Parts: sequence; C-alpha cells; structure tokens
Amino acid sequence: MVDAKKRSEAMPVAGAPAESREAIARARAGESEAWGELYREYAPAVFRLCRRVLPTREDAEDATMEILLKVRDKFAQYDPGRPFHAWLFKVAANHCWDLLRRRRVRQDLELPESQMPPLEHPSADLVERLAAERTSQEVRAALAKLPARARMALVLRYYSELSYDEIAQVLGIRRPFVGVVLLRARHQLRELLEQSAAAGRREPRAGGAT
Amino acid sequence: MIHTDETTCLQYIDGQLDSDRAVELTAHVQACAECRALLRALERETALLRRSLAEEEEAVPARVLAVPERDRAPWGWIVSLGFAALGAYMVWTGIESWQQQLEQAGLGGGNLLTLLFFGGVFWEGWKSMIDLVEVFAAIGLGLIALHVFRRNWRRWTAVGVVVGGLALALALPQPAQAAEVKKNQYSYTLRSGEVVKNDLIVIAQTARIDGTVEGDLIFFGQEVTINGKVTGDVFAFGQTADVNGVVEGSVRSGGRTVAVRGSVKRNVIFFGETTKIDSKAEVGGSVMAFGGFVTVDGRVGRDTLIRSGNATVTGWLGGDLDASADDHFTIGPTAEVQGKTRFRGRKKPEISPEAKLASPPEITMIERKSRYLSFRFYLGQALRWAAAFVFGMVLYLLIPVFFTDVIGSTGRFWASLGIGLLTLLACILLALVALLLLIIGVPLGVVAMALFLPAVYGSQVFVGAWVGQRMFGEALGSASLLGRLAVGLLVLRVVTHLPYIGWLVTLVMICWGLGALLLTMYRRLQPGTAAA
Repeated sequence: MVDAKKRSEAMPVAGAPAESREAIARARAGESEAWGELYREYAPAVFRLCRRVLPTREDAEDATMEILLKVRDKFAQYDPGRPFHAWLFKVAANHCWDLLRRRRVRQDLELPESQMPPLEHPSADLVERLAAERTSQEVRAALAKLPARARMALVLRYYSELSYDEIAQVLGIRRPFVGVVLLRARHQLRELLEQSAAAGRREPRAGGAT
Repeated sequence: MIHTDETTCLQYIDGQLDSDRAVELTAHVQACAECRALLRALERETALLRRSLAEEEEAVPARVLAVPERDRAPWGWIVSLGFAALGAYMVWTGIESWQQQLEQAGLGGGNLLTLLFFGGVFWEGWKSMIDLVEVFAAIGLGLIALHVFRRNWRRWTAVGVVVGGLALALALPQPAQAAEVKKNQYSYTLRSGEVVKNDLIVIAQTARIDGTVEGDLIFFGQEVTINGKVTGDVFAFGQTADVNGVVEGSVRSGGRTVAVRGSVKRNVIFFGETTKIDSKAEVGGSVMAFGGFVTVDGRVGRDTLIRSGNATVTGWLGGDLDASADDHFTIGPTAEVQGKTRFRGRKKPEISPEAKLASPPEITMIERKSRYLSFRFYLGQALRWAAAFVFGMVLYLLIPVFFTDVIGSTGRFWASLGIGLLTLLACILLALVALLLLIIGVPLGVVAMALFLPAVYGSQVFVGAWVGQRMFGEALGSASLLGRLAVGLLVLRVVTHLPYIGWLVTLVMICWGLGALLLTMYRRLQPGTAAA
C-alpha cells in the first residue's frame, strides 16, 4: 500500500526515455537538428499516449506530429528547471484533450454531474473477481468504449501517471472533481467488463446447444 | 465505526491523499476487514489497469518514427506561395507589356480588370498564357514525382491526383468542338459571299467578317469588324468590335470599344470603355452598356440601361431609359423615349426641352458626402455584420465539427493564406482556359461561381471566429463560440474599412479563410487522417 504511493511519485512519466539535457537546451535555442534528436527520442512515447486516448491510429499519428511541432514552436514556454518529459506530456495531453473536446462540441453525451445516478458502493468481491478474471486485452477493449473524458482521465492517471492537480489542469476541471471523474470512470469500466463477461458466458452456451 | 468510501481509497492508492487522512485510513484499514478487502480489491484493479495500459498491442508506425523534415509542415505553403509568386509574376509581366503597347499606341485609361483580361492575356500574351499552362503541367508532374518519393505519401495522394489529372487534361489534345476554329493567324477574313455553316471561333489579331456565319461568332483578339451577317450571337472580346452588318442574335462584348452601325436583332451588352450605337444602327432588343462613354443615337427596340461616366442619348428608344452617369448625362433634342426615363447621378443631367419623353424624367441626385458621416453607411454595415453572423451561425449549427476544424486550420496562417491565394489565382487562370472551350466553359463557370462565392463569403466567418478566439481565448461551447464569432466579425468589419490598407486586409482575409476551408476539406478527404 505504501509502495503504491511511493511509486506514483517516483516513477517518471510512463514511456519517457531518459532525458538528454543537452539536446533539449539546443532545441530550445532553435536548433532544428536537436529538435530532430528529441523527436526521435520522444515520438514513440508521445504516440503511445495519443494512441491510448484518441479513437484511431491515424488520429494518434497525426497528433504525435502535431504535438512535437507544437513543442518546437512553443519551446520558449518551457521552463528548463522542470523535467522536460513532464512538460512534453502535458502539452501532449492538452493537445489530445483539445482534439477530443473540439470534436464533440455539440454531441457531448456526458451528463452534467447533477444528473448522474449516484454510485453504489462496490462490493469488494465483485471488484476482486473482475480484477482476477478479466484479461488486459478485455480491459483495453472496455477502455475504448468509455466516454472520452473518462478514458482520458484513466490514461492520464494510470498510464502517464499525472497527479490529480495535473489532470485537473488538462481536463479543465476543479481538483476535487478529479477523484469523482476517476471514480465514475472505474465504475463505467466495471460495468463494461461485467457486460463482456456476461456476453462471454452466453456465447459458448449457445454454441453448445447447437 | 465509519467505513472509508471508495473515493478515499482510490486517492490513497493513487498517492493523492494528504498525510493526515492517509494515516487515518491506514489505521482504520488495519482494524476493519471489510475496508481492507475493498482496498485490496481496488489495488488489484489498479494494477490490472496499469498493466492493460502499459502493454503494447502494436508497434509504433514508421510514419511516426521518421523525423518529419523541417519542411514537412510548411511544405504545402511553400509550394502554394511558389505557385502564387509565379502567377503574380505572370500577371505582372502581362500588365507591363500591355502598358508598353498602350503607350506606343498613345492610349490611356481603362481599369485593371479590362486591362488584365482584355489587354495582357488576350491579344498580346497568348504565348505567355501557353507558357504558363506548360509551367503548371510541369509543376504538376514534379509534384507527382515528389509524392512518389515521399515517406508521408498519403498526404500527397490527393494533391498528386488532382494536379496530375489537371496536367493530363491540359496535355490532351483539345476535344473536337462543334465549331470551326481559326487561330494562330495574324488576321482572318471571311470574304463576301463565303458562308460558314457552323459556329465560328476566331482567335486572331484582327478579323473581318464580310460573308455569312450561320451560327455564333466568337472572337478573341484586337479588332473585329462585321460587315456581313451572323445568324447567331456574337461574343467579342478584344479592343474593338464594329458591327456594320447584320447580327440576328445578340452582341455580347467586352473590351475597349463597341460600335454598332448595322442591325442587331436582339440585345447589345457591352462592358468596356466606349459604346456607340450609331444613328444608322437598329437594335431590336435592349442595350446594356457599362463603361466610360456611351452614345445612343440609333433605334433601340426595348429598354436601355446605361452605367457610365458620360452618356448621350439622341436616338429613338422603344422602352425605358435607365441611366446613371458619374459625369455628364445628356438627352439631346432628337431623342425620343417611349417608356419611362430614370436617372441617377451626381450632376444634373442636361435634358433638351425638345426631346420627346413619354413621361417626365425621374431624377435622383446622389449627394457627395463622406459616407462615414451618413447614417445609412452604419446601418448598411450593421446589416452586413448581422448577415455574416447569421451565415456563420447557420453554418455552425449545420456542420459544427467541420466548422471548428476550419477554425483550427485558420490557426495555420501561412499554409491557409498560401493555399487561398493559389486558389484565387488558379481560378482566374482556369476561367481563362475555360473561355477557350466557351460552349461548355460558360455553364461550368457558372456552377463553379455558385460554389465559389459562398466560400469566399464564408472566409470572413472563419477568420472572424478565429479573431474572436484570439481575443477571448478558446471557446468552450456553442454560445461562447458564437459570441466570439460576433465580436470577431465586428473587428473585421472595422479593419477592412481602414483607409489605404482596408482592401489589402480584405484580400488577405479572403485568401486566408478560403485556404483554411480548403485545407480542412483536403484533410477530411484523406482517408483515416484526423482533421486537426
């Protein structure tokens, strides 16, 4: 329990390679070669993040390039005292969230908080059972079905390891609300996993009947 | 005992609980089996989530791994600006040679439009026009070659296909036309007694029709004289058109001068400097003249519409006379108007008391007052602003996602501007090419215009929304976006009316918005590419 806390503080942003300070400094000074180095180093990690939050692979590819180009243009805003990857991933997360948000300006399906049904306290058994039985593949399939904000919050938290404060900034919500968003996201995820479990149980039975 | 709730557990697991409460929770969990079980289950779930997210299902695509060359993003606008510069250069050289010719001939005047269309390209610059087409084709082929060797080829597929198709279309021999075409001649003469039983298209310095054309006559060149007979319509684009013979259709002409001494059974429409309907002339239909000097001395069967600087009417008019003249307007003593007489202008017209007017003339004087002082000006601006806003609003409500994507593209200023400028130039050039195939060119042009004009009008909406977002930050919903649009449009209205640079701002705005629109459409057409 204690080491869970320690891990989330100590672990760097997921997938980010070791920093090369010198290349960052040069890229910051506007050297395009250094930027190329940084690109090579960070593009895969940025892509992986984008791939997890955006709906299609093409979206993620485009977004990766756009993010790194954005970084090149915005290098002046980077404070060299802070870790580069943290800044980069914040830019990336903001960019992705922006994309998602812009696409659903009107078809926003998420209900306002006041209209959401109250969450039931989960039984430890159910959570335990789902965690034990579901494969990571099934979890990913369920994640893909989540609403954009829920998925984004989960990815930022459990993939990019952002703090609640950082998530609040990216999603443009108040800090206390982050916990609620994550909680709801997990409930929705559990629901989807249960459904897939039910569907999975039905299928072989139907196959056996014939 | 108060059990811990799920949120607190999650925050604890996530390391986001402040230390006091964390200590509290640790103590409680040690005592309470129920909460311990929940916490453990949630931890396992968290681990599963982390694991699921960390696993890679697929390799990072090569397209992402390849460092985009510095030119990757600005490529589009480098090409675009290159094209644009080329086009501008062509137009510029066209103007210059036109001016030289003009000076040699001892002529002056004319506006930019006549100058571009009827001066440079048509009767001097055919060669440069063909050169330009060749350059376009070459660049098109170059682009195709480039796209073959590009790593991120997908983006260029559409460009390649479009440009390649265009190049191919230009390279192919001209389709057979249901018309006789005479070109590459210095002068063309259809002798008296000769008959062309077809439409006749003449591209030559001078043309003289003494015989008969049983069809339309289409002329591009410097001077055309019709002494014989044309059973169809006459389209004449050049410096001078003289109609001494008989035209059974209409005469539509643009250029410097049109003079009608013979008979035109239907209408005469002319855009250019001087229109002269001679005393011997007889026009069965109506006369529409737009230009500097207009003289109507002959007979006109129907209405006469005059928009000019100086105009004189001394002939017989079967219908209404509707005239406006910036400078002088005279109705001579021999004039006879069967319909109504209307006039709008700055100076009082001279109307001879001997002129026979069927009804007393309606004269409206335009006062020369600074338009910025008049209320009407502001009312008009307010109405235009409202119209643009409503247009934008409807657009937004119809296609919200596309709309916001276009605003996103507006952020790419240079790319949008380059593409927009290129498109405008390309449209002018294509219009010129389309004129060659006049018969299909005209309806094609009309359709293109019907699509193009709303796009040009829409450009202010996109730029306006962008300006609004620049001022107040990115919009977070429909209402705030529309609010920003309203303010942005207002700013544009003011800026485009600045003295001296207003027209430039307008041009940039149109190119920019149009470019952003095209950029977004282009990205949309790309299969599987995000419209950012």
